[in-house]
This record gives sequence, C-alpha cells and structure tokens, in this order.
Amino acid sequence: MLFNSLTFALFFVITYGLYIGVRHRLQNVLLLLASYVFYGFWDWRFLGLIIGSTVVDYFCGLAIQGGREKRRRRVFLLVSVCTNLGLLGFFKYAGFFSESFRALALGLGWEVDAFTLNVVLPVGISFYTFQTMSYTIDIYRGTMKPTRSFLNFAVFVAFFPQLVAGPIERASNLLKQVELPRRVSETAFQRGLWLIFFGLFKKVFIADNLAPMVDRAFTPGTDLSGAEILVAVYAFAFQIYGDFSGYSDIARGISRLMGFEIMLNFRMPYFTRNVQEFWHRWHISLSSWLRDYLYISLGGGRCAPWRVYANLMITMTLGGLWHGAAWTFVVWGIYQGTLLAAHRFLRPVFQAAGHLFRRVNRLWELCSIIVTFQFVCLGWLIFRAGSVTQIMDFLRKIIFDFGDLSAVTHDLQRLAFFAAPLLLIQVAKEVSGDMHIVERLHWWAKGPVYLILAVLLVTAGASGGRTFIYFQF
Amino acid sequence: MAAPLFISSFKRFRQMPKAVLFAIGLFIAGEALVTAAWRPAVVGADRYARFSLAYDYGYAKDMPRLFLEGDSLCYYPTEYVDMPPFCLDRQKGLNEIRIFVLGGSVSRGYNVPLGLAYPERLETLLNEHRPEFEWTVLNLSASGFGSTRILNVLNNMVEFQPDVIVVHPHGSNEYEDERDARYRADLHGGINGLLLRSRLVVLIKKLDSLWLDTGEKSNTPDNGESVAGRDPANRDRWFATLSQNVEQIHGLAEAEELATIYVGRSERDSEAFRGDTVEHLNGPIRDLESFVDVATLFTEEGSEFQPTDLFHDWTHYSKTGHRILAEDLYRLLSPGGEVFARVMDRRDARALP
Repeated sequence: MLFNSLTFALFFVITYGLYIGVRHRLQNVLLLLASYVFYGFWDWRFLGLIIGSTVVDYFCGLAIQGGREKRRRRVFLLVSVCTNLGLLGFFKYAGFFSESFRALALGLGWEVDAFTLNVVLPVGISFYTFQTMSYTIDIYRGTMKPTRSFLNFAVFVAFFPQLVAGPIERASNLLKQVELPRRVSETAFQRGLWLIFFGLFKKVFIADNLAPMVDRAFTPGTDLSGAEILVAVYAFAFQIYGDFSGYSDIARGISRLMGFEIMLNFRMPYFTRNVQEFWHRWHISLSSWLRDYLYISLGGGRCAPWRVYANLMITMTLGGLWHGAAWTFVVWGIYQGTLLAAHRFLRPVFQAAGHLFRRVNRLWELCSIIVTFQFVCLGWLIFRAGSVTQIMDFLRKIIFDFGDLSAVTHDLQRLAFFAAPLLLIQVAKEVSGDMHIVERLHWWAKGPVYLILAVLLVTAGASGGRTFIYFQF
Repeated sequence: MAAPLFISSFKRFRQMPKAVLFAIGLFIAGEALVTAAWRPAVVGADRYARFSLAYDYGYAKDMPRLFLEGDSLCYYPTEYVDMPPFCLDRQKGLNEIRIFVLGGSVSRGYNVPLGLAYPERLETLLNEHRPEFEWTVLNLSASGFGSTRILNVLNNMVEFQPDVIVVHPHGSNEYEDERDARYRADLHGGINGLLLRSRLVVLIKKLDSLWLDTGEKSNTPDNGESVAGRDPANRDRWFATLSQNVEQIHGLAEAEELATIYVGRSERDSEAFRGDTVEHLNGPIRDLESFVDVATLFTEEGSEFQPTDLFHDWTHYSKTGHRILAEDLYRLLSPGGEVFARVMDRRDARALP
C-alpha cells in the first residue's frame, strides 16, 4: 500500500475518521490494527516476523531491566540483537553471501554446489529491526526504562506511517508519545497537511519524473557518453532525495495529524558545506543510529587517530551494507567512510582556509556547497550502479569520453524543470535560516505557492504510482 | 462524542483555509482569464487554430484535420501543442518526392525530442544527400493509431499525391482503435476528466510537454493493451482487422501506384506481452515485399528488445533506434535501393504524356 495510491488514501481516511473519535487506549488499539493491516497489505506472511520481533524485544526489554547481574542483562541483550540481526541477516543477506562465496570459490577454481537462496526481502525489515534493537540497547545502557504495556510497545514497533521506510525512531521519542494521550495543535495540523502535500509533490513531481531518465542511463548495456551519465547522476541525486525525503515528509505529516511528532530525517542535505555535515542532514535517523549504537560503541572519536579512522570506515561500510546486499553498497559505504576520514584528517586545513576566506564568507560557503555536492553525487553514482564494473565504466566515460554537452540539453532541461521548485523553496529556507518559511508565509503569499505546486503536480506529475526506493532496503 | 484529539476546534484553523481558498480563487481567475482570452482576436488566428486546448491528443475521430489555406492543403497530425500544421501545395513540384509515414506512437516519435523521430531524420538525410530531388516526408502518425485509423488517414491524404507510403502499424494499437469511444469516456471521466475540462490545466499541461520537448504525453493506462493482448480472442480479432486493413492499404497503394514500405517487428518477446508471439502485432505484414524488420535491424546492433540504447521502453525506440531505422529507410530510397527504382518508374510513367 503506497502512500501515493488511492488505496492508502482510503485506508487513511477510514483509520483517521475512527482515530479522532476514540480515547487514547482505543486509539492505540486502532493504530496497532491499522499498522498490521497496512503491513499485511504487502505480504501478510511477513506479519509473523514483525510480531515475532516485537514479542522477543518486549520480553528482552523487561528481562534486561529486571536482571540484577550484568551477565544476565547482557544475555538478554544478545538474544534481542541476535534475533533482529538474525532476521535481517537471513532475509536480506543470506542469498548475497552464499552467492558471493560461490563466485569466490569458482574464481579460485573450486567446484561448489550451486546453493542459491531465493528469499523474498520483507519490506521495511531493516527499519523495524533497527528500531527495536535501539529499544533494548537503550534499556541495557540504562538510558530508558522498558514499557510494561505490550500494546504500546507493539504500536511503537509497527507504527504504520514510518514502518516501511523510516525514519528509524527511538523509543525515547516515539514510545513516550504512544504512552501519553495525544493532542494536535492548530499549527501541527496545518504543518502536517503541508508535509503530506509537499512530500507527495517531491515523490510524484520530482522523483517519479526523473526516474525514467535515471533508469535508462543505468540500464546495463546502454551506451552513453560521459555527459549523459553525469546528468543522469545529478538526476538521481534529486530522484533519491525527492523519493526518500518525500516519504519521510508524508510519514511525518500523517503522524502529526494523529498527534505524533516523529524525527526529522532530512534537513536540506544538498546545502551542506562538507561531507560530515551531509551525514548530519541526510537520513538523520540512520546516521544518528549508526553513530549512537555502532560508532560510539567502537570507541567513536575518543581514541587514537588511526582507530577513529578505522571506526569511521567500519561504521560507514556497515551503513552501506545496511542499504542492500550488493557489493556496490559496500563500495559506497567504503567511499563514504573514506570521505569522512579524509575530512577529519584535513579539518585543520579547511578551518585555515575558512579563516583565510572569511571576508568572502558567502562565496566560500557557496563553493564548499558545490564541491560537497559533487562528492555526494559521485557517491550516488556508486550507489545506483548495478555492478562494480558499471561504476568503473561510468567513471571512465565521465573522465575520458565526456562527449558533447549539447547532446544533453534536453535532459538538463528536464532536470532543471523538475528540480527547480524544490531548489527555490530550499534556497529560501537556507537563506532565511527558517525551515518553516512556507508555512509561516501570510495566507495571500501562501495561496499562490499552493496553487503553483498543485498545478505542477496535476499537470506534470508522473502517473503510475512508482514504489519508493527505500522500500527495497 | 467530541474528538479528544484536538486541542482547538476546527473553527480556529483559519490560516490554511484562507490560503487554500485564495489558491482556489486564483485558479478560478486563471481559468476565467484563459477562457475569456483564448480568442483568435487576442492570441492570433494562427495560434488559436494550432494551439487547441482540447486534450484529445490524436484520439479525435475526425483526424487528421484538413483545411485549405490559399492553394495549399494543410493538416494537423496531432493535437500536439503548437506543432505547426503541415502544408502542401495541391500541385506537386516536378522534382518533389512525397513520402507519407503512417503509424502509431512509434513512428510519431513518442518520447524522443521533436525532429528526432525516424520520419524527420529520413527527410533530413534525403535532402542532405540526395539534393537532386526535393524530399518531403510527412509524418501522419499519431499515438494509438491502429490500422483502421491508418487506413482512414491514407484515404484522406491520398489526394496529396504521395510517391511512397511507409506503413508502420503496431498491432496492439488495434486495441486502441477499438476502444476509442471508451478511451474518450475514460479521458473525460473521473478526476482526470474534471481536470482536463479546465482550459488552464490543459494549457499548462501542453506547455509542460512543449517546454520539456516530450512530444505527446499519453494519459493511457499503460497496461490496458497488454492485458487485453493476453486474451487469444482479442489477438485473433486484431490479427483479422489488421490483415483486412493491410489488404485495403495494399489495394489502394496498387491503384495509386504508390511504392509501399512496411515497418514492423518480426519478433517480439517482451515482458509486457508475457512472451506472446507477434502474430497479432505484425503477422499480416511481415511476409510482404519491402518489409523492414526492425527486429533484424536492431538485433544486428546488439539489441535485446529491452530498454537499452535502442529502446526507450519495450516498444518505443530511443533516439538511436530512430536514427538506425531512418538510415535503413534512406538506403532503400537511395539509388540502388529497391524502393528507389519503383519511385523512379512511377515518376517516369507519370511524366509520360
């Protein structure tokens, strides 16, 4: 059930109609049922997984809290982590590792029986397993107490607006809101509606319209010039942003209408001045999860320099692998780790340069944003590529066989048309420093903005209801 | 029971309804402005005639639209925004060779920029390399046209004295021909229909497609014909209609002594048609003389009939695909090419007193 479908619209109208008419406890019962219906729409057989994960983590949370000995607490933490990682490992990575092992063995000349797992990846598994793991880890660390209510915990795990593609919520935020009666303020309601509308716009107008251009370029066997590939990579940068942040916006908007405030997942990531800042603004819920539960556990930045660089590499490589069972994601993770390590290593140089150019601070910032965007886009090339061979092929073409820029005028025109509304709004936000600038506009200024976006959505929005990219992760 | 969720009543939600109402008001004003101003006196007769705010995109039954302008006969190939009408003198020049391309979206150039579909490329090639003649390639294709409407177009256009006709049917368009009435009902029904009743929406929609250079933008649900194509009864009927119409086209071409080139694919095993054969798609033409088999042509270029550099999707060609086909047709129409000889024979015969 896609957010950008009539089925979901109907589902939400019914759910919301019932939801606003009942008291807190019944609201939670309704939310749980609705979430299971929502998830069951993808494939009802996977409901068992989410319920299983919920049951295990609920009892592990209680057992960790109740355990007096550290060993016992650790055992239950391990049960929780192993269950979640086990589910994730089996459903997401078993096929990949068996296939990679087979390829390696064949490469070494060993005959290995063909053993391929055709496991269907349950939608959203990477998101809810990480969410429930953070719950038990937080209890183990003593930063929060477990809930006694199974209902509340089950709602926290299966909360449908963010179930299949995040944001990966923390119990300290979402579970508390599940437990307490909710209220919707006038501002929250308005902003919720705006988020849903703008999220749909990002998805249907930007991402889905750029998708064919990107798909065509990345189809194996397509012979394109470097210029065409480069434009397709830029298009993918906007496609993935529109797609994923669009989903997150809709999720946040729906949550707001129901009285929840879930975390911000994107904060204009293409306006970042360096790669470290990028990761503070892109998929914030995942990057902060990796920071809090992996990077810091490894020692974080408080150890010898070589260990810090190693920690960054490990964190980002695993972060890359989280996105999917493919070597391109591993390469992408290594690339991001390298960028972060390089940025950390060169930080004194950047600071000195920033000081040197302080008189032209704005220009320096603009240059930093443009350069960072290029590095991010190189990452997107790796991320979107179908294979490591394609990455190498595309890079070779961009460097040595760039071709004629005039051949990509048409594609650039499309890219500019579909990215322009988003860029205009975000430039206004960035320059004013106000993330809610559109919502805060006076009604006579807001009206034309709504109208322009609605007309663009209606007249040039892509039809067909493409699925969201991050569902596959 | 009062909803416990809200801390304020809906009466307090003033700002957003005001902005939304203002947006609706602006829309209505825009609609009124377009409706009032879209007059020949305001936008110019020529633009008014060309820039139709109807949203039929070639599905109108009276296509192609013909009109007289001085001594010329003009026609609009589709409702594509601002596409200039093609005007031909009723009398053909001594050196002029006219080629009409009749087909559906593939030959129309669906999803390739204007001017890069194979009919336009062919005209450029011929005029560049064979300047001894004045070549006119008239692309009479329109998205969704099946053999019935192709025949209809040919019947209407034969008075333009073509020398060569390129017939490029795509069998699944038989479905489009059949469902024309239903399609128009779909197009004008539901939310879509409501929106397309707005002249402002249609104007902006057409401006979008003009600016983005996408040519026609179909609103057709893209799986309708493939679903219908899985039914053997439909396929048999389409095959029969296509055979019958091709026979008539052939008869007309013989009567008018037109050189005819058929374009199609002898093989097709696409996902969209679940591996069905092409019998109902191109069967009736593939054994005909001068059949240009795109399957063979593209396979030689390494295509696997999937979206690659030759195919934009499972059916429509990319810019490169159009270029390859144009070059092949150019060979047929060049000295030494089999069609060229027939064109010359016809010209010679006509030149006789």
